[in-house]
Amino acid sequence: MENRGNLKMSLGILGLLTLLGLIAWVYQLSNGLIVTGMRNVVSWGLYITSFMFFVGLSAGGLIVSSSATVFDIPAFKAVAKPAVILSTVCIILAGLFIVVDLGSPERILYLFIHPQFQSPLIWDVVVIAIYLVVSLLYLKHMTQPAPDYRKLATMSAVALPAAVLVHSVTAWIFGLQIARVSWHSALMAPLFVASALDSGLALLIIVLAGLERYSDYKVEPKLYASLAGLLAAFVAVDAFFVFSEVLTAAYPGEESVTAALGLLLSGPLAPFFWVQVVLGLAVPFVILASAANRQSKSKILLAAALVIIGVFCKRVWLLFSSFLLPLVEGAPGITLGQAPAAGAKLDMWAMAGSYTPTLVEWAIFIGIISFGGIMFIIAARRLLWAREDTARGIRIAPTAAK
Amino acid sequence: MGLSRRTFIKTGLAGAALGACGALPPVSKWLRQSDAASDPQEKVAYTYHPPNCGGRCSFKCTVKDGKLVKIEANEWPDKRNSLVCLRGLSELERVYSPDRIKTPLKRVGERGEGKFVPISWDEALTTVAGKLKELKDKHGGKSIYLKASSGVEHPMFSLATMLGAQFTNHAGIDIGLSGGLHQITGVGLFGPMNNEVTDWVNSKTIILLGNNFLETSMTDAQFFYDAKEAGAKIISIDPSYSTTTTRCDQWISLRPGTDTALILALINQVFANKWYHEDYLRKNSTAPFLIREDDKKLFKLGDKYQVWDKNSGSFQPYDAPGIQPELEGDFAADGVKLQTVFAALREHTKGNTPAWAAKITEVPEQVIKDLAKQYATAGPAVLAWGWGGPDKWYHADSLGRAGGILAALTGNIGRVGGGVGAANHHLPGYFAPFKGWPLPKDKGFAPAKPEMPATDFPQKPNSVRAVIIQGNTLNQWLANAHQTAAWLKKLDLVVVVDIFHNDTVNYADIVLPTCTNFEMEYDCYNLQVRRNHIMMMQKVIDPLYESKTDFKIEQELAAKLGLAQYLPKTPADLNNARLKDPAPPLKGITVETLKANRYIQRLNAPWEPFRSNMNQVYATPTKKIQLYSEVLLPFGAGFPSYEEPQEASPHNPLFKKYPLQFSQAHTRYRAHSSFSNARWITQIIKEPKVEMNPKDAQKRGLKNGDLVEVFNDRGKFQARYQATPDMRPGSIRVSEGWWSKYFAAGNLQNVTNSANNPRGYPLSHGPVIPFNDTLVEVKKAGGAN
Amino acid sequence: MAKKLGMTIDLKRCMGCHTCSLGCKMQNNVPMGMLWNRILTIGGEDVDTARGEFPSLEKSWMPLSCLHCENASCVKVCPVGATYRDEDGRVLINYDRCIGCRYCMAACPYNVRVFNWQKPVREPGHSYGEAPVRAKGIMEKCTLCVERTAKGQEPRCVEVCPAKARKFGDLNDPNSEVSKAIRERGGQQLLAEKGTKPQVYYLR
Repeated sequence: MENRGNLKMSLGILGLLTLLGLIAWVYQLSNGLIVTGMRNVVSWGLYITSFMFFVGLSAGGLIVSSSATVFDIPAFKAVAKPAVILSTVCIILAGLFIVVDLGSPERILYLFIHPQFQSPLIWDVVVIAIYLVVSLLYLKHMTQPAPDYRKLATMSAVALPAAVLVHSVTAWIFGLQIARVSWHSALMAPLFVASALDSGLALLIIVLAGLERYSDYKVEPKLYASLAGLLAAFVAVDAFFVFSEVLTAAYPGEESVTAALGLLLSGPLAPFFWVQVVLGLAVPFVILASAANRQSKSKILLAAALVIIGVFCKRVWLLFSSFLLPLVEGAPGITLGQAPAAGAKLDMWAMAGSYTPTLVEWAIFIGIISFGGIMFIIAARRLLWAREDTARGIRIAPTAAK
Repeated sequence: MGLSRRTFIKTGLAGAALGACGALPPVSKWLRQSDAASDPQEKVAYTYHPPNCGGRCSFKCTVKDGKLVKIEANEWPDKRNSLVCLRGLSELERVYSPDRIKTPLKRVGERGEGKFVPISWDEALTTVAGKLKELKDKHGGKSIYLKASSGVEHPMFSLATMLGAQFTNHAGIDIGLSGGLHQITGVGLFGPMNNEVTDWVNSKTIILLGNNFLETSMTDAQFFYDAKEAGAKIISIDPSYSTTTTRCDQWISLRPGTDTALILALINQVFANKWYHEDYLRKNSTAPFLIREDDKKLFKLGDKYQVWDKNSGSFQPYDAPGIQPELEGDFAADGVKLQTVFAALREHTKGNTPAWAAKITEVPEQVIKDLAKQYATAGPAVLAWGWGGPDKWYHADSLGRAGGILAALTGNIGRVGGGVGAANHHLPGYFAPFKGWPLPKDKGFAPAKPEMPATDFPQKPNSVRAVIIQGNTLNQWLANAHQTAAWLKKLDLVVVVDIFHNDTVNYADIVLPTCTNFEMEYDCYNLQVRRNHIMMMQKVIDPLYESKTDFKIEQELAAKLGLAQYLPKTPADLNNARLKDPAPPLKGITVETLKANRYIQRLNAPWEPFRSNMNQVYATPTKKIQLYSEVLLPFGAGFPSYEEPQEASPHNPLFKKYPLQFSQAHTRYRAHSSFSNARWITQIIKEPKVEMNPKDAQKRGLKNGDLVEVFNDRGKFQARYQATPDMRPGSIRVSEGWWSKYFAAGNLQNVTNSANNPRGYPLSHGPVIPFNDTLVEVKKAGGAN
Repeated sequence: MAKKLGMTIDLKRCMGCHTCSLGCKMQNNVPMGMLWNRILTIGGEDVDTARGEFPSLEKSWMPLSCLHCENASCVKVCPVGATYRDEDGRVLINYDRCIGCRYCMAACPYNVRVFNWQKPVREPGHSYGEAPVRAKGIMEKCTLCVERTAKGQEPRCVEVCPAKARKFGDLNDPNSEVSKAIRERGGQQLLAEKGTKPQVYYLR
């Protein structure tokens, strides 16, 4: 079978990329985070951006699948299984991004041995752990030969709030910080959930299309249209929150907020902000708002891809808008935390933040995502098409074989 | 130590912080005592900080495993002095700098090229001794010149004396104003203030004249603030907005180099408003002395200066008892009209009105009038100048004299809360002269008579064929670096004794690595008196690499010349000799008592602030304040007058080509060229900057951070432009002392003025190097002219 | 009553000499590339430059290090309790607990925390001062010189200040020098509106 060859090659390439990422991580472990582009000014970077992004992707998937059961939307039940697999994989990736971001990952167990429950990060650890367990259980039940619908319903009822919560808690990691004006907003959780919904759904749509293309998995074309409709609504909500947030920030004209906003509207973060607003929100909404377009799988996929790119950009501007400006101004600025080479002129100060991910970060980033790809393919193979016939409990869309 | 403490913390914290914050035992319970002395591997040693600044802070140093790990202020008997500054602290790294010279070196390339090979101490010393002996035999001792920087604790003066070398020559630095003031008050080298800075709390007005006190005398800062809080009005007269200016009550910015005009206008106002202290002048100054109309000399009968005594109605010797000298009147003797110095001075300064000065200095007339009133009438006043500003100008002596005259007219010399002179790192204090090392009298050992001020060596024919340089003195000490380099290249022998591989080292034939003042082969080293205390250096660590102390090098070099037997065996021997039959302030103080008292003791001196001339006796030939100078009469300068700067004046035709005045200021970040390479300091300021007002930069199309070239006919250098609104438009500045390697190209001394004012030669400390009396132009580096 | 250790910094006396900064570096074995205590020029774009147009200029200096907030946002966010506020009110870091997540760094409103992005580089090549060595991958910052203040000494920055601009003491003691200075001079907390209640007060 042709697909099988493709699969092996895909797994091979993904495996290689994962290995490269692993090597990069070992390099990072031995040299320290100095091999990243992060320093004392911009102290979080691609890893945390990706963490936020993948938590969102994960939550979005689970929200869709569990709401299918909770609100009894039969059409969505069809995609519940791939959605849960996707969610599970994404949340594992999110966790991995935290691991690689730690300066002392060998102490990661301290999160469980010495948890300090005041910290939103511990809330996140707890919620993600619950979420992961729920996802796995959910998946287990779903893939039972004879799933217990009542149990499934109960689990959905847990999974849905957990999914909303996991992303809200991630938002609160940032939103509760009075130190950083562009994070400190009550809207942070809704903003994150909105992003989770649209990006998670968009990814689900793309993954479904991928499954369809590369496996025997079949999706009812109508389902794309209805998911696309939902995506349009999610995009609109996301746009609404972004607009509301920006307006609230801009209107009073407070100095530090205006400065942070300036980064978005016309500063170094403007490309990310405007890509999200235009390509990530406006364009997909225009595409998906049209019922005719919703009949076109390729247009839906284009819109979904744009939404995902947009949300990634949103993570970027959300994170960095709080890091680029020094919190207390004055020359020579903030120490970078990087010792100069012996004999070299000492340049250890920054008056403003700047950040470019290094090759090491990109390698780890790609490695983790590749690892996610491997996990998904293996899980999908085992849980979706390998046992397709036995998994009657979930009504797979009737094969609309050509 | 660190490890065990960490373990301790760990156990102390285990579980305690679980789930809660703040639920920890008080640190004192779990923190192990880490007092350095309690650790058997640690030891404490006391020394003081010498390099260049002169502040002489006494240090308590902690050494662990043979390495310097902590520098703290020693506890002084006068606890206010228990201080360190950033430069002192930076020694922790500087001692171990990668720039250290590790072995003796022999030059293999051209002079200045910097190509060397390591050689043994024996070869180095044999070579140097052989050359010195040869030169002495052939050309006499005067062919050898020894120059030690102010940062060197053991200048090899004994060896130089035995060689009959030149080394007491005037050095042209930090003496511009004091040379003038010396004419008035007989003040010593560098012209320190009469009153020590702790007396400022008694002042009502403190004028800082080109004195960035808070940077150059950091460890005296508390006294500045105490005075301010006690109600003194502190006024900064500085072309630019200095660190100190920001902390003053008033800032008067004037055109650089015109300070004399300002002070003359103040004198004019003192006369115009009769704010002078008549009785004080009559008693304590030469104000009643009489100037002959014919030759402008002071009227004498026999060898005695005469005054007109009101009581007897006759000429009387100025020091005759019971006389009442007249300050004014028409007198004549032998048909020659006589005028009192007082009246002549008034006449001399008649034209120096505030309006006149306002035009020259660009200070508003009213500001000058108000300044005069404040200084002359508000009570005890200080006129405190620095060494980095108006001191480094061609006509600095006139300013020093004008300042002295102003202080004298207002009775501010020898007065509580008064004083005039250089206010720098606590220079004035109770005096405690050391004895010299006794060289045998019968050997005819004597230094050569100085041929000329040392600043003339590169400029005039002279006998010097060999130079021994202790410390990086040439590159930063002398202006016009190309001239200096040309001279060095002509010499038969250049020996550099230095710690670090700096610019001057590159000109050496033989380089001898000396050690920092923390390292020594002996248990103790030099003595110093500062801030009314005497301190001694204790060994802190062993000399690093193959370096040796200057003391040891002198001894070994002398041994090669067969002269070692005349030198002290150890620094302790030298110190014992210096403290033998001591002057009263040193009575009872010995090497042993110093060791027993953390290497610092207070002099036997009163606890009240030191104030010189309180008895109104001056170190002048007349023992009075001499308002009039016969020494400078041949230059037509019996009284000081304002002259336009020699170079940095808009009236100079050169100004069209080079319209920017160039200053090299002292900063807190270095003491001359010391600490150029201190990495703890260069982490703050990493390279020289051309500080320029953005307005001037705009005219030249420069953006902040641009690499620029500063140039004139003497030479050029490159560094980055720093937008500095603090700079008075028309002036630029590069802080002095940077080694060449920190410049993009060249060195700031490539452009500086080295002209010697002929009027400087008869002055006590010789002519000053007019570093700041320099014109330059600036352009973007690499760009079109 | 428990102590609340604090400090006042007189900005009228501070002259930007960096002595406290280097004193801190020495005392606390702070590696190259970072400082626990740094001196900011409140003026132009570069160190020691003024803002404004000659001669209407403005320039001052502000030392900045951990302000030991009573309501410390760093303490709240630390997931493992590595950052804590001790009984005397010092905000400290347990170097053996820190996992290097840098959440505290993001949460601090003052940019005063520094991270060991690499194995600490010390010039000279050996450790100095009294504070323990910190490893790569963990956070550090001003401890109010816990090694000294626990023994009743002043923090190093207070001791070395040549301008005598810093005072140290117990804010809970109304008669302490710091309490008096805050009362008499109207001590100000940095970014007081953040509600972090710093125990370091600036006197302007």
